[in-house]
Amino acid sequence: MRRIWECLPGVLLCVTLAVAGGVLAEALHLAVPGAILGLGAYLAWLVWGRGIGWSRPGAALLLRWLGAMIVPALVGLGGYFALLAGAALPLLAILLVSTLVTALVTALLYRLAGGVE
Amino acid sequence: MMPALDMGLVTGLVLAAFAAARALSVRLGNPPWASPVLVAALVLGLGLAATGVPLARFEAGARPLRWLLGPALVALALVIHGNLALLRRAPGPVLLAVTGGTVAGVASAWGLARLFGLDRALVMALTTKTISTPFAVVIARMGGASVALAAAVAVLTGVIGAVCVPILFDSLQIRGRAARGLGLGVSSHLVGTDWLTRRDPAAGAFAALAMVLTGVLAALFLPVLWPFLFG
Repeated sequence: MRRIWECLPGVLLCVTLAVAGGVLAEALHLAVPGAILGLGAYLAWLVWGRGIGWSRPGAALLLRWLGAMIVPALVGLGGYFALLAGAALPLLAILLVSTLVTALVTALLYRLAGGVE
Repeated sequence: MMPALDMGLVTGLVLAAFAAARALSVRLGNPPWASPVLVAALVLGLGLAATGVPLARFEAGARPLRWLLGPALVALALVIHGNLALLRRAPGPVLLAVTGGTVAGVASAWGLARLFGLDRALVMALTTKTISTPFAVVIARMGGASVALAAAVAVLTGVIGAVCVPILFDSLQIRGRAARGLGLGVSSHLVGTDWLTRRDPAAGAFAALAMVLTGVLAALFLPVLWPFLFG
């Protein structure tokens, strides 16, 4: 029971910032998901604000269950079975090549830019 | 009454399936291919098919969970804040690597998909492949791409990257923690970061930072870019 009370303020803060971000993005016709604006606001608060420690248990709880919130989107994949089956090989080839290229470009750029290890 | 009942039931089932899949993954030693998200979705999908429950009813019931994705994305600020010291140590190189890697990920996937002449819905989903799944889902929802395809492509990318990228880095003798962490975080996001963190927490911190920065960056430029690529 105590845990719920610990987590509630942080969850409510994240909900409020996500909703506020959505309202702001819509009002200003921004081509940015509202939750990203909320993320920016929360980060700014964490960096420059004081007394934000109360929000951590709730935010951490949301992160712990983040995976579960993606599951419904994946279950919806059943409707695309024919499309995926028809392009399975090129799709896998693209995923493999593009992922390796991305990793290599990132690592090499960091080295080239003189990043410390 | 019925929709509320469905929502409670679906939310409970998804949370239970995810918790069970996570426990199974821990038992198996957290291999990339046993991604809890993937296993939970597979079990639920098979369950729907076996019981004959229409997908639309499941999706309507999953609305509260989908809605919570926004607040959870806000909570990811904790990950950036927790690893801010790494960014402050070398802000220029980290940001350049993450930006360049993200652009390479989007451009290579888009170019190859066009080369293979894939369906427009697939090409669109592939442009979000290098973005961790929660960001990909939110961006896809906003830009009118298929959320299911974007999620699937992102999760698969994570699995493939967690298996193959470390082999590539080993064979090219890329051994630095920062370079490896950033490379894996940008290219293989959540699954890759998770894999690395269990083996080398210091490198995993770089991966976590890179993963969230990639998501934020892509959320800023993909919705603007899409009308030009697919308009």
